[in-house]
Amino acid sequence: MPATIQLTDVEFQYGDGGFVLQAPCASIEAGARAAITGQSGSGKTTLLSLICGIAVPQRGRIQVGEFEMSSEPDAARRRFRIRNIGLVFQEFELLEYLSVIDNILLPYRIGDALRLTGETRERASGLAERVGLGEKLRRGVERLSHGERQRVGICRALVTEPPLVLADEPTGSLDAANKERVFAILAEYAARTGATVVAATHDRESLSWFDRVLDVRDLRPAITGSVAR
Amino acid sequence: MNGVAYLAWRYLTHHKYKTAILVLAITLILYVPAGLRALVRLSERQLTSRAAATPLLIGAKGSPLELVLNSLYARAEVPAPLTYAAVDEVTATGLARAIPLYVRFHAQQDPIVGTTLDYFEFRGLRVAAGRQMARLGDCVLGASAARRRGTAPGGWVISSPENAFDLAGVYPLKMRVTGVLAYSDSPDDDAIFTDVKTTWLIEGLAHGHQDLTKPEAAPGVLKREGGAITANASVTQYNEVTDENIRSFHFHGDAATFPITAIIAAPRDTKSATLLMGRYQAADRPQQIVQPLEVIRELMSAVFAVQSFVLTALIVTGVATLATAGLVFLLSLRLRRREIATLVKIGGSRARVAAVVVSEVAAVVGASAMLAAALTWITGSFGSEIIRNLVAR
Repeated sequence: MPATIQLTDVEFQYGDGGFVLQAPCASIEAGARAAITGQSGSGKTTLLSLICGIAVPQRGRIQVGEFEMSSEPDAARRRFRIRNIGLVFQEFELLEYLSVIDNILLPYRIGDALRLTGETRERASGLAERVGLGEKLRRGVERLSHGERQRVGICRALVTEPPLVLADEPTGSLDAANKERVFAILAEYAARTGATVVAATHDRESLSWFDRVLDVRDLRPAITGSVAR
Repeated sequence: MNGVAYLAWRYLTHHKYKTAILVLAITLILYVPAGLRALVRLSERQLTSRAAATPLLIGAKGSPLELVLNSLYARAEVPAPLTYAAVDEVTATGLARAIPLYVRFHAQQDPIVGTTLDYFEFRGLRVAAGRQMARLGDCVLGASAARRRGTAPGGWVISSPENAFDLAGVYPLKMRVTGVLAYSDSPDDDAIFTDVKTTWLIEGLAHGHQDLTKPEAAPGVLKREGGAITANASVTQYNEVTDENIRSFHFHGDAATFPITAIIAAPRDTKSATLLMGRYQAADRPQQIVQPLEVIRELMSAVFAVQSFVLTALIVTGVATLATAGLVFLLSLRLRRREIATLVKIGGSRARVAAVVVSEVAAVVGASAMLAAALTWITGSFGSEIIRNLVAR
């Protein structure tokens, strides 16, 4: 079920007190493809961390679908995250000692809210097939190219079929061809499942892929409505 | 395999060299003290039981330990000899049964034990194949010696010369194997038993040669004076006792003056033992009498003292190695901070993430413990052989 994201009067500050993120009012509707833009260090990654419950704001309220991310305890947030949020990282964050298929299935091995079944294995293999990694399922990820690694990272984010995908600079270290491929995979997934996709990016060229762009500086919609692609 | 165990297993097998080194280090920490203790306990049990089964030993004055080790294990240095008259002397006292031992010669690495049939009865040794030795030149083999040599009744064993350049000394004697003893889990398994007279034959105190009265021996005869015949070196000497030539074998000298290395004295009772020991207390007496159990206990107390020093050193080394292994784990955790952070980010439960790391440590320690236990078991199982070989050095 696609998830709406609602931020109300959110204020977050790191322990050292140097950085403050404020989001008076922002919402991303279910099924949207939203880009969060801003300069490096402006708080894009922090905002994603708040949305997925890795960080908790000192003030305000964050709601993902029906789930009160800002008030639930850590264990509940983790359980919710592993079931409902797929995370894509700029540096892929794959486990070097696992094969392609094992990296994709990682959420099932590490989360007690998920159960690994034959069906999930088939789904993981199918995902890998779709992104062109069908022949490399048993290969160690250290032997993959940059683009292939990011595709593994995306498969890992999508294997649980989450209603919300959060991507932190998903194309930041990729060449043009691989950028295209990443967006194509995400688009195909969003179209198939109706999932909400939120990506932090500072890459202006990729903004055309999104239908909504939020500027992290004031978290007011900078561009609303559909963007011509 | 559940997810946690699977991830731990994949991590360990991916870093196989690191894992192998850690397992090896921890295995050694666990095994060396345990194996040492097992070996020392086993050796204590073996040495003590063998010694306890040998009430008294009489030998020439010298090292009691050497006398005991040579007589009980048929190994170690050969003690100074005493004459066979000492056997008759013990028998004459009526206080104990005297069993002579002459443990000096070898057939390759196997010791040749010259004794009498009383020895087999005393030790409870049973012939498993073939029959007992019956005449000069016969021998029976301990079970392990027979297996090692691939020899069965009907085969033969050749004694080894003591010194290749000793032309006048010990010549190789080809001995007939008449029997193989049943396995006894004792040093007797590794020995070759023969009659004490056969060992004197090996030493050259007896010999057999062509009948010099026969015409075919005439070319070797230098002179005949009455009953005495003097021959030269061309006379054929026998290096094997057969049914045909046995009558030509004869001893030169009085058997009472022939050497043996020890006498096992089996006293009738405690009083007889005490009386017998009293007879050997005199300072001017050329023989000594020892209670093997006491000698072995003294040896073991020295071994235990050394063992406690070694164990202390091993424990210190073990603690240092464990600390190093712990450091390796901690450093590895530092290096894996990002990986652990990823597991947390994607929603891994705190317990599961911790369980992966704990499983890795548990797998390494568990594998090491199993390996150490297996090695300790092997040491306990095959320790008897090891101990016997150690004693032999």
